[in-house]
Amino acid sequence: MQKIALENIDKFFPSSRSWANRGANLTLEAGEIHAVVGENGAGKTTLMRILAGLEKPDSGRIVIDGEPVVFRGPADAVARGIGMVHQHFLTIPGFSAAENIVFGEEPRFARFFVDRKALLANAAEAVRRFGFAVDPAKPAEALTVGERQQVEILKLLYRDCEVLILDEPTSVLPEREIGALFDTLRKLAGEGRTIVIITHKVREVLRIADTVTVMRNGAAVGRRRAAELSERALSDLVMGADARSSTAPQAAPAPKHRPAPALPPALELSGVTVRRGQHGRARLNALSLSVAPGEIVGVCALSGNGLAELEDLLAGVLKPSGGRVRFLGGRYPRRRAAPWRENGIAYVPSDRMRRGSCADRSVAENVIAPDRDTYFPAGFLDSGAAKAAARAAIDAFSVKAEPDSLVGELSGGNIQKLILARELLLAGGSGSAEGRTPPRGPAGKPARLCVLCEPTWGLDQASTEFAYGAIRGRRDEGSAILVLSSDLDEILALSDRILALHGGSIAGAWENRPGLSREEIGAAMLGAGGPIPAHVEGGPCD
Amino acid sequence: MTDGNRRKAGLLLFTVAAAVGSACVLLLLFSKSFAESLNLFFVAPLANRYYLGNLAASMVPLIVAALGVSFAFESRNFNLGGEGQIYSGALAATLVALAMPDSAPLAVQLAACAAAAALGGAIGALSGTLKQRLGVDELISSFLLSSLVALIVDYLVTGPFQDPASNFQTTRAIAPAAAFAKIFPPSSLSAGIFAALAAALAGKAVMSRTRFGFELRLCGASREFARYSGIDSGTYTVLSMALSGALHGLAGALMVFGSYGKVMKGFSSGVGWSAIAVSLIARNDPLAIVPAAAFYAYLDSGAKSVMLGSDVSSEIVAIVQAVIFLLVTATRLPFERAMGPGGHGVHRNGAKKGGAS
Amino acid sequence: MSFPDVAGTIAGNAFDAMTPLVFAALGGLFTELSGMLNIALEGLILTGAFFGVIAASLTQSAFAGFAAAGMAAAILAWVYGAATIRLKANVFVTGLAANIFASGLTVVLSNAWFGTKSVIAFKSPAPAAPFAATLGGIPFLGEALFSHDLIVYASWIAVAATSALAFRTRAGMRMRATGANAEAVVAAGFDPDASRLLAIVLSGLFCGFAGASLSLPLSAYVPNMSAGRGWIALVAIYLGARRPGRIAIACFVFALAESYSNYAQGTLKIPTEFILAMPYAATLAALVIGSALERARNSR
Repeated sequence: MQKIALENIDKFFPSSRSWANRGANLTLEAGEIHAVVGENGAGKTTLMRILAGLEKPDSGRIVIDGEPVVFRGPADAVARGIGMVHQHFLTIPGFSAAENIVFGEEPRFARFFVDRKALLANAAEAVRRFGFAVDPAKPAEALTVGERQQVEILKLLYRDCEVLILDEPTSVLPEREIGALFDTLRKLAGEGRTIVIITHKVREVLRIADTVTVMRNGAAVGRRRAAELSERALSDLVMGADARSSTAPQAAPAPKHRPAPALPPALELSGVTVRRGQHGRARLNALSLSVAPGEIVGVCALSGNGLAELEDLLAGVLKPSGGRVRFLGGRYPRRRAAPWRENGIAYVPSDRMRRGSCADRSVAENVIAPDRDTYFPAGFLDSGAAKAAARAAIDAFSVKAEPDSLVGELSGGNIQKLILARELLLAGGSGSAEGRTPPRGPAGKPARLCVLCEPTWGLDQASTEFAYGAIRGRRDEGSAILVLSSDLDEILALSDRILALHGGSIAGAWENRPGLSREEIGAAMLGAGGPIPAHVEGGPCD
Repeated sequence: MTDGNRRKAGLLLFTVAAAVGSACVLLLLFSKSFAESLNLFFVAPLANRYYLGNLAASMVPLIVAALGVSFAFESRNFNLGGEGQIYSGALAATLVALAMPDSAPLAVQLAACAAAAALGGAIGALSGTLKQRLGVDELISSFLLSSLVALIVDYLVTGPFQDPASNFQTTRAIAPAAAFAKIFPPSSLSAGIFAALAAALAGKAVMSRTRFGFELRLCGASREFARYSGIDSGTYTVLSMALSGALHGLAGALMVFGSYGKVMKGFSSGVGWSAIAVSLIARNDPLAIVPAAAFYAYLDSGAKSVMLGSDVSSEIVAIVQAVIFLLVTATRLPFERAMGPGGHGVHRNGAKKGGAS
Repeated sequence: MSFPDVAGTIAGNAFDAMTPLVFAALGGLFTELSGMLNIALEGLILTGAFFGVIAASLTQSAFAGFAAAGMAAAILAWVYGAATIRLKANVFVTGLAANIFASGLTVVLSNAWFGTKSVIAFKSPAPAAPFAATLGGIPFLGEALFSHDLIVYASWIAVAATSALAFRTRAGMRMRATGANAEAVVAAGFDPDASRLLAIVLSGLFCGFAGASLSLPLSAYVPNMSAGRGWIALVAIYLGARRPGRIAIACFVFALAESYSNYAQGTLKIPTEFILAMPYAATLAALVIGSALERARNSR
C-alpha cells in the first residue's frame, strides 16, 4: 500500500539560481527498498531532504498515509517516522556511540539528570535488537566508517523511524561492508520499514532495490520495478537517451593493455613506513612502489588500510618515519609545485571541499591558486590570463559556473570537475578530449606526476568517462599517473598496473590484462589472498 | 549592484544609523541640555578650522593602524595587541628622535618610523611565531602581550624617560623641526595625512594585485587549500602578524610626529580598539578604511567636544563604539526572519565545524 | 611573621583571588563547550562588579548584590549573544563590543550617578561565612581554608554544579553536541542556536558572580577592577582541558601567583606597573608552556 507520496515538489535555490526540483513526484510503499537514482544535480538529494524536513518545498505537498503534512524541521519528520542518514555522517565527537544513538532522548532520573547506566543499556538493547555489531561504549572518534554508519541508522531506529532515507550509503564503505549493510537493510524492510537509497550507481540499484525512481533535471522520470530493468536500460533512463549524444562530453575508448615503458620511475617509494597516533601502529608498512612516466598505476584498498596515509604522504601532510620517497630521482618536494609546470605534480585530493578548493573564493582564484608563478609575473596579478584560464577550465569540463562565481555556490560534482580541469587539462596539451577545442592554458608542460585520489567521486557517468579520457591523455603525453581509489571498478577501468594494499603493505600486484579476476584483487584487499610471494613489490612487472 | 552587495550596504547603513542613534539616546539620557549637546556632538566638530583639522589629524593613526588590523584579519589572524603596539611604537619613535637631535628632519623621521615599525612588528611577530610554532591562540597571546607591553611603557614613560622638567607624566618633547609640517593651522593636522592616504593606496594594491596579497588572503580563506596550493600558511601567520604590528607601531610614530611631539602616559589609549572598528566597518578593504576612519574620527571628536562643553563624560563614545562592534559583522538584519538552521558565523573557525564526520 | 603564618596568608589570599577566576572560567567553559571562544568575559565581570556592589549597598544584602551582579551580566550577555547568534555576527567582534560597552557604561554611569570616574566606596555587608569565627583560628588551615567569605565556598559548589549541568543534563549534552557537531544537533531536531544562546547567558551569569566576588568583599567599585581576569580565565579553561575540576586547579595556580605578587609588593620595592603586569606575564607564560608541552606530547 502507498505509504508516502511527494506531489509536484518545486524547490529553487537562489544562491545558485537554479531549480533543484521542478514538479517532482515520488511514491513509497511500506516494506520496500526504493532507490532514487540520477546524475549529479538531478535533484535526488534535495527531494529527499524535503521529505526529511531539512528543506522546505516552494510548492507541492507531502502526503503520509493519505494525510497531507507540513514539516517545519527534521524533528517533525522524525515524529512522523521519517529519518535520513546523510552522506557525511553526523556523529558527535566526544560522545560515545551510545550517547550518539540516544542523543536527545536520554533517559533521566530526578527529572534533570541523565541516567548514564540506562542510557548505555538502552543503546545496547537497540544494537542487539536490530542486529548491529557496534560497541555502544566506544567513543565516536574510535568508530570505523562502517560503525559510524550503523550508529547513524540506529539513531533513527531508536526514534522508531519507519522510513529510512540513506544518501549514497555505499560511497564510503568497503566492498565487504556493503554486503553487510544490504543484509541489514533487507532485514529492516522485511519488518515492514521503508528504505530509500539515494545513489548514482546503477549496478547497486539492481542489487538491492525493489523499486526505482529515476530523476532527471529535478523531476522524476518514473517509478519502475527493479526486476524489470536491465543495467543498460536503467543507464539509458538515468542519462536520458537523447542526452547521451548531444550534451554529454564524449567518452574515451576503453584502455588497451600497454607494455610497461622502460623509463626510470617518476615516483619511487622504497620501504616507506608511516606511523600515526601515539602508540604508533604503522599505517604504511615498509611500502615500496614506483610509477614510471607514461603509465597509470592504480592502488586500491579498503578503508583503514593505508590509502589515506599514502595520499597524505604524497600531499606532504605526513612525514614518513622510515624509508624514502623519490621524485624524478631526487627528493620528493616538500611543497607542491604547480601541476602543469615542469617538474610539477598534479594532485586531485580525495577531500575536494576542504583541500582541493576554497569555497570563499571565485572560480578564477581557485584555478590560478596553485600556479602563482604563471599568473603573478614579477609578483603582480595578470588578471586577463587568470580569467582566460578559468574560462578554459569551465569549457573543458562543462562546469556550470562563471569565472567570477564563488566556488561555494557550485554543486559538489561541478567542484570536482573544476579540480580535474585545473589539475589535468590546463596545460598546453589538450588531454584527449576528442571533438573539443583544446583549452588554452598558460604555456607549460604537463605535470610529471599526477596523484589522483578518488578522481571521479560524485561525478555522473558522462563526466566520469570524460575524466578517464583526460587521464589517459595525460598518460599518453608522458605523465606518470598514480590513481588511489577505493572503487575497484574505477581502478580496473583506468590502470595499466594494479596494486592492492592491505594493512599498509602491498598485498598484490597485477598487470591489467583482460581476464584479470576481480575476485583475486578483492581477496588480496581483504588480506585473504593466500600467501603473498615475498618478491611481490610495486615495481613494474616484467 | 548584486543582491549580496545591496544587502551588505543595507547592513552597513543600519550599523552607522544605530551608532548615530545610540549617541543621540545617550546624550538624551545623560546631558542636561539635549539640544546643546547634540550641537556639540554633531555640529561642533565640523564648525571651524581648528576642530576640522584635528578631526583629520586623528584619522592619520586610525588609517594606518586599521590597515594593520585588516592585513591580520584578511589572513584570518586576530591581532588584539594594537594598543600596546601603537604605544610602544610611539615610545620607540620618540626615543630615536630624542637621540638624534642634530640630524636632518627627514632622516630623523625615517629612522624613528623604522624603529617604531620594527618594535611593533617584533611584538606582532612574537604572537605569530607562538601560533605557528606552538599553536598558541594569537588572539589571546596578542592581547596579553599588549597589556604587558603597555604597562612596561607606562613604567618607562613615568620612570627612566620621564621629562624631569615637566609635572605631567610624559617624555621630553622631540625637536619641533623634526615633526611633520603643519598644513592646516591652527589645527594639529600635519603632512602625515598624506603618508596615511598613500599607505591606504599601497595597502589596496598589495592586497588585490600582488602575489603576496593573494597568498596572504588565500591563507585566510582556507589554510588547507593554501597548503595544497603550495603556500606555507605558517609563514603567513608570522608575516601578517608582523606586518600588522609594524603598521600599528608606525601609527604610533605618526601620532608623535604629527600631533603630540612626545609620549604621554596612556596617550594612545583606545586607538587600537578604534582601528579594529574602522577596519571592520571598511570590511578590511584598504580604500574603504579612509571614509570609515573619517566617520569614526567624527564620532570621537564629537564625544570630546561634548565632554569639554557639557557634563557628559566622553566615554559615551565607547558605548557608541560598542554598538558598532555589535552590529558591524552582522550578516542578517535585526527582526529579519531566520532562514533555516545554521549559525555559521558563530564558530570560531572552520576547524570546530563538521565534527567527526 | 613566622613561615606558617606567611604561607597561610598567601594560600588564604590565593583562595580569595581564585574565586573570581573560577566563576569566570566556569562561565567561559559553557561557551567553550558550545563551540565559541568567549572574549567578553572581561566586560561581563566588570558589569557584575559594578551593579553587584551598588545593589548590595542599596538593599544592604550581600545575597541581593550577588544575585543582581549575575542578572546584570546575564542581561549584557544576552544582548551580546543575541547579536552574535540571531544576527550571525562574528563572535570575537561582538565580544569586543561587550567588553568596550561594559567599560564605557560603568564610567558613564559612575560619572552620572556618583560624580566620579574613580573608586566608589559603599557601605554594604560583607558576605562572611558563619564558621569563620570558630574554625578560622586553626593555625595555617584556619587562615587558608576557613576564614573566607561565603562567596568563596559558593565558587567551589559552582564547580560541581557546572560539572553536573554540562555533563549530566540534556541541556548540557545538547550544548556540548552543539560545540562538537552542530549539524547533528539540527538533525536531531534541536536548535543549536538555542544552546549557544543559553551558553552565553550562563557565561554572563557566572561572570557576574565573578564580578560580585571582586567588589562585594571590598565594598567598593574600582574602575577596571576585572584587570584581565576574563583573559586569564580563558587560559585556565585551556590549561584545565575543559574539565571543571582541572580548571579550578589552574585557577588556583594563577591565584597563587597573584597572591604572592601582592605579598611581594608589600615587602619588596617593585614599581606598581610590574606588579600589575605580573598576572599577564604569568598567564602568557602558562599559555606558552602549556602549548609547548601539549605539542611535545602530540609529536611523541
